Amino acid sequence: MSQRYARRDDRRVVVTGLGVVSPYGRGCPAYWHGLSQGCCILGPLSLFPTEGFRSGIGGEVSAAITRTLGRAHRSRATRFLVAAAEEAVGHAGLGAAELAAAAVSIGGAGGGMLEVEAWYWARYHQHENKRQRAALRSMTPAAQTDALACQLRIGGPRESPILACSSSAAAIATVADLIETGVVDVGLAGGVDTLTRLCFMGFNALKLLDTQSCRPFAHDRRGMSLGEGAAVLVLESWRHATARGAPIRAGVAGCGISSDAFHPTAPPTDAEGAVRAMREALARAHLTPADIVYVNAHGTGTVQNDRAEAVALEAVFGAGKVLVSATKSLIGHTMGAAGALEAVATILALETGLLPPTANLWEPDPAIPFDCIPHAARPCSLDCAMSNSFGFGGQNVSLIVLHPDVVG
Amino acid sequence: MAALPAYRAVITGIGCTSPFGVGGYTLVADVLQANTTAIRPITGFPTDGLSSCLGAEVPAACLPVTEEGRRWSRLSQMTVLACRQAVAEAGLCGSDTLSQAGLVVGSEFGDTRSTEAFSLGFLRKGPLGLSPLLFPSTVMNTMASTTSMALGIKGPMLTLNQAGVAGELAVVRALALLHAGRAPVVIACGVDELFPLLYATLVQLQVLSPRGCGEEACRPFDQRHNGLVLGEGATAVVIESPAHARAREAPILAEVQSLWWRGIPTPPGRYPALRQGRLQMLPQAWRGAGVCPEDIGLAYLSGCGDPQHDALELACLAAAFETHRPLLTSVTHLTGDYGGLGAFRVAAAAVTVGTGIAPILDYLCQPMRADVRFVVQPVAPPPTVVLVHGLARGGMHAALLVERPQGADDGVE
Repeated sequence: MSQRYARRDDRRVVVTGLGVVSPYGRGCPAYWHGLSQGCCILGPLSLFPTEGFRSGIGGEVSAAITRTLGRAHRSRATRFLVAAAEEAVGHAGLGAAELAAAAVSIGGAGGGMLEVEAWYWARYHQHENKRQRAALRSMTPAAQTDALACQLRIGGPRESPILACSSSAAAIATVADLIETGVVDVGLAGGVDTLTRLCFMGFNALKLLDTQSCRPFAHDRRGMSLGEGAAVLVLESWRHATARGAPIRAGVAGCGISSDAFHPTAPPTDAEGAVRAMREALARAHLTPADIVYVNAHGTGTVQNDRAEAVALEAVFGAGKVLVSATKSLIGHTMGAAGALEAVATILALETGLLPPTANLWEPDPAIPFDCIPHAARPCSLDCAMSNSFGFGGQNVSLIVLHPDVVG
Repeated sequence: MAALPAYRAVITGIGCTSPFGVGGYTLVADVLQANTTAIRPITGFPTDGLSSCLGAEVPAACLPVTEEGRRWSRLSQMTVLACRQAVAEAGLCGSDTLSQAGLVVGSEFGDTRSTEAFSLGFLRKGPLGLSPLLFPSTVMNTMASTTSMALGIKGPMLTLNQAGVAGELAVVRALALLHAGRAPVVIACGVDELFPLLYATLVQLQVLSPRGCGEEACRPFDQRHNGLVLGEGATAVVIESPAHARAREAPILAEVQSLWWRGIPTPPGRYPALRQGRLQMLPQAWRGAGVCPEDIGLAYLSGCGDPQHDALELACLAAAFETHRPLLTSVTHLTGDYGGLGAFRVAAAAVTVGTGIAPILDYLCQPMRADVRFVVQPVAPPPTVVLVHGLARGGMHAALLVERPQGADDGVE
């Protein structure tokens, strides 16, 4: 593949830093250890009561871990996000001058809603605490991005894209665009979402939560499990990264963005929008389907979504032509953060030559014509891989990442 | 960096759902010409017991009564109407181009009305009270996704959340999508709505006029300003490359260029402190984009009536223009303030470069500064280059240039 990878321009995008907060704990090592061990961390939720709902489980960041994440007066989302970004910036070795000109784009869906819910619940029951009202300052997703920019003194273009579950994948795609078109040399891109009552109630109302741990691509799949976390990637132009001797962890070869214009919550059966996103990513990366060995699937575990994604993968790559896994089976669906967390998982798979597995896949769905890497990580040397993210409202984003050896 | 020197395109359609009604270029021109405020006591929900009662509401009669429209939330209705009007004005209805188009929606609060309604279902009846139909509207991309379904838009679709300047950012990102080759045409829309919980909370937080100080009113840049008066609406502009517009013989209303887009590190919910370095931001932008500030005849500011905001914005502009004194104006006294209002400012700027019509700040009795020139009478001669400037809590700072189309003589092309 390396011989065929055509991009050699100075503005190609590379990844020089990664940071994660996940239900496994703080940091990329804990995240990768959990994923590569196939350790499903879904368990009973403690953040809020779940009586009366279909499911009481999810991928929660424990209180013990959360206590180690920055200032307690901040929203849970801000604490996750800042911790992930500090790790990424530390890996990349970015200094104050670089941060002052850097872009930052953080995708999410719920923002600081967990704390606002507490205020609103109390207000409804006429127990309003004026101190809880301070949570309103961090209610919107943009407030988390603002807090991060303030903390790290990031002074370039700033965005908070909201594309439901593909928000953070879109953040990566749009920051990569800013680098490729010469607006900035460096950008932080990622996402954050925490478990909230609102989200839990919503997927419960839609009957999309599995009562057990989710089982993407399984014949007996019954829905998703929710999770929470944050992931941040430092993206740079190849020229800028090499000029400062930064460690190149991966390349972002191409990103595709499309919309279905079909239904508020369901994908079309022919997954036409997802197909367009994947093909656009391939075209922008100057790659062919045969170059892709592994796809980190959106793989939520719902009957419709997994079927539609398999249809799209078959249309783009052909049945059985790529290895596929769904890391949501291990940590749950982290909503707006999922795209960035899965991009990090895909990069770590490239780095280590180990593909993370799909947990709970005891009975693969015969209608899914792919090896979905059940239970145990699979050794596999690969040069490039794809990460898919699809969101409510028909929001499709596909990212292609490259092993650093083929970036240049 | 961040000066976006190459992000230049043309505006070929305008659509607006506003307190003044639903329309396009002509409606915006009429609003600017009439210079009559839509701010009045709120009727959509009770304000009893609150220290504020004013707002600029979109009349219920403007919103669709079709079967299709009834299924959408109020905010999505506003967005669809504005985008549909802009697309019609741009001559894109039913075209293949529309299916490849991009869509960027900027909003500060999204559909929080639906979020509250969804939550109340649970609080009143438990899990059985939860509406699966409402849940998708609690995610902020609901306005964009509804619009994409209503109009058949299948290109990149982004929703940007931002305080204060969400409308400007939607336009800037639309330009970036065009520049990155992600779509041949992009519709940029700014949208937000008034709803009771937000209104009451902002009153309690002392954000809204009169903040215990004088008469309730919307008076940006006047020494009597004492807080925000909220408005609502949706404004969409269709943006494409000049070559693409010419090839399909689209009406070119104005040229637009992204000039400045940065976030000043600032705690959420606060305005940046007034420091000398920050006053040099726009001059950096002029230099980066090769713009001569003397060419700018008029500027639309994001002045909202918050004393801190207005002072900071005027200081930025005064420092940036040095001895040059372009006319300064605002639409906030007409429309009330909301996060997505920047798209209306861009539309207004397009009208101003085409017609010379600009809002007159007739409420301005005690201007905050004497070293700047506000629009206090009809503008003559019409400016050919207009700055749209936005500054917001949290430190977001954006600027765009809107210019009379090349080759156009006086008036609209």
